[in-house]
Amino acid sequence: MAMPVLNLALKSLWNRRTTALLTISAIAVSVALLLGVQKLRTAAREGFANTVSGVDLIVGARSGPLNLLLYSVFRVGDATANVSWASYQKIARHPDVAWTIPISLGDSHRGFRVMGTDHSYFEHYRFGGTRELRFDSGGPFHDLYDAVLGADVARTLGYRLGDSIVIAHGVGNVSFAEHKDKPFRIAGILAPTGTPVDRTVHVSLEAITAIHIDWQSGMQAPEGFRVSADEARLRDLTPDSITAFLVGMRSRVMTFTMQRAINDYRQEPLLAILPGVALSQLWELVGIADTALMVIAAFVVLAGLLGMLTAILTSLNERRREMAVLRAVGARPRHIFALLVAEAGLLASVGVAAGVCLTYLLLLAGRPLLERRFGIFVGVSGLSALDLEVLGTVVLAALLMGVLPALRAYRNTLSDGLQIRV
Amino acid sequence: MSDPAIDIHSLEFAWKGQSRLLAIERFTVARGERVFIKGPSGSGKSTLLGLIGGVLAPQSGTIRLIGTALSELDAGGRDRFRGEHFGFIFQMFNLIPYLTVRENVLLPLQFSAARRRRIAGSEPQHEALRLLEALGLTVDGLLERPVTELSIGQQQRVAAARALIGRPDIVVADEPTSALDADTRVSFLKLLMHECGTFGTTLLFVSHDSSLSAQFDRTLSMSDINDLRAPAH
Repeated sequence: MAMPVLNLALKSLWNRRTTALLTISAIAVSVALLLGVQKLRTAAREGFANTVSGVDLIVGARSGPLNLLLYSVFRVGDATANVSWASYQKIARHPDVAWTIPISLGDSHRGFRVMGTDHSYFEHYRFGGTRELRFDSGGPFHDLYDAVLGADVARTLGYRLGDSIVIAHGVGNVSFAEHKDKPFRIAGILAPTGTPVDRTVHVSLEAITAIHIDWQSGMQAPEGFRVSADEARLRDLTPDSITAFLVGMRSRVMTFTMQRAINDYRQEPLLAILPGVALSQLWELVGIADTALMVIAAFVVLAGLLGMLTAILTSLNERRREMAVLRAVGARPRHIFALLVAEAGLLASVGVAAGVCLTYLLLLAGRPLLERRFGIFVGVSGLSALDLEVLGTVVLAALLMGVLPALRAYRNTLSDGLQIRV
Repeated sequence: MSDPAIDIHSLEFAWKGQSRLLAIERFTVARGERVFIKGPSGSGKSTLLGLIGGVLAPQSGTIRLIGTALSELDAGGRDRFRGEHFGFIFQMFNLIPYLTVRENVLLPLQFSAARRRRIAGSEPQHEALRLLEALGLTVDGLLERPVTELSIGQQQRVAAARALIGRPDIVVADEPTSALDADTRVSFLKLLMHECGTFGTTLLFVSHDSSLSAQFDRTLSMSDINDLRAPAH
């Protein structure tokens, strides 16, 4: 008896196709939102965990691991102390260390952090698994006053290659103390990465030393005692200290030994952290926001299903005689019950299927934009087990909701019998 | 073939919370008999049909239909029995609006294997077409038409074909002609009677229009059947 009932449900829905289509659209849109949030969330989490990859240790002055991660990778907050150049050199030259990337922070340009580093950054920095930094235009800094912009910086401020920029002292958005006498030329613009790299202005370590050469305790020396941009080129620009550095080991196995050695370093209080561990700690904090987004999406789906419930319930009264006719030809009350549950199930199933199509269409269409603007890489993969579970739950919820009109129709048919009440 | 089509004995029925509406000491209809029942609205006609159709249960008494006591069947059994042995034609709105003529006529077969078996000799749609033609409905592409395109008179013929398909034992027609004009009414009735006669189908025809009663084997009024005075309201 399942077939005739399903068949009837299909035809009855087709008969009310305008309402049915609207209901299906509402469900489809809400399901697309839910799936989209889920996909973006997965992509964002992966992107976050891969903000920096291939780095075995992050080393800075002793503070908290999250603090170190925040300022060295996310350019948030400030270091409480620096790492001396001598200590950096000692660790960088250790035989087990393959490479190091020095990081020197403290200045900014129109709200974006300026980071001093060296060429090993462009060579060894990895994100999103094994992705390397790529240049959209230009290349790494070669001259002392060359700067390399992250993608967001160039896009937001509308900079092109060759433009001249001035770096401000300190990290405030509005800084009155600027390194006006030593302007930088934009030598390269990086492709978007979806990481804090996009929001960073990169210069050489020597440049950081050069622009601070005539500064003392946050103030530039008075006129007459200043060192011009060209004079600075002749000085020894080896820095006294850096803010932090990233370490790549020759062999992963040595990472823990090295971490312990750095944390026990006598000459200076240092802290070495494993980026993966610190990143997942940080995600636990940040992840709350995306759970909230998921909850909102779930409520939107609920709203879609409630719309369906309303549509079915309002149709019931005008369909009482249809039910009586079905009863007269031998349909049992449970057939009437099944008919209405089937209608809810069909609406939800078609809605879910349409929602899945919509999601993939949007992902395919939006992928280039997401990648370019936000550096989020959404793989257009099949539905994950979790996705299927979520979609199954939506259909199940619809069937459960269908029980409500079904029960009402069931009661109606019992009291109406063969009487056709109009 | 000795059991009567309908045999009601010592029946009493009252709607919940109301006084008795029906009290029937004895009411029988022989197989193949065509009975006209007339009575004003409110006289309990529809209730009687509900009892015979098995969607209402009497407070006391028995209803035996072609040898089967309805009280011995559970609700599901009564539904199955109705689907198998009954054809209903109502006053109007007989058809499922979202089904075609063919789907409407074949609907009882979906719910009753017995009726499917009874027409096993021919294709269901041939049988549907034969019945429709016998009832005077010949329209091009009739079977696949949406029923909403048909006139009321045509719709009643489709309803009659649906009641008759798969040869039910009893056809119950509740004011089937009241929405039709006089000419159509007579021809509709004639064809319905003829079709019932061909297979010996028992016909219970309820109407307030006694001008039609002449063509029936027997004419009864509700007050003949019901031992109670018609209720005041």
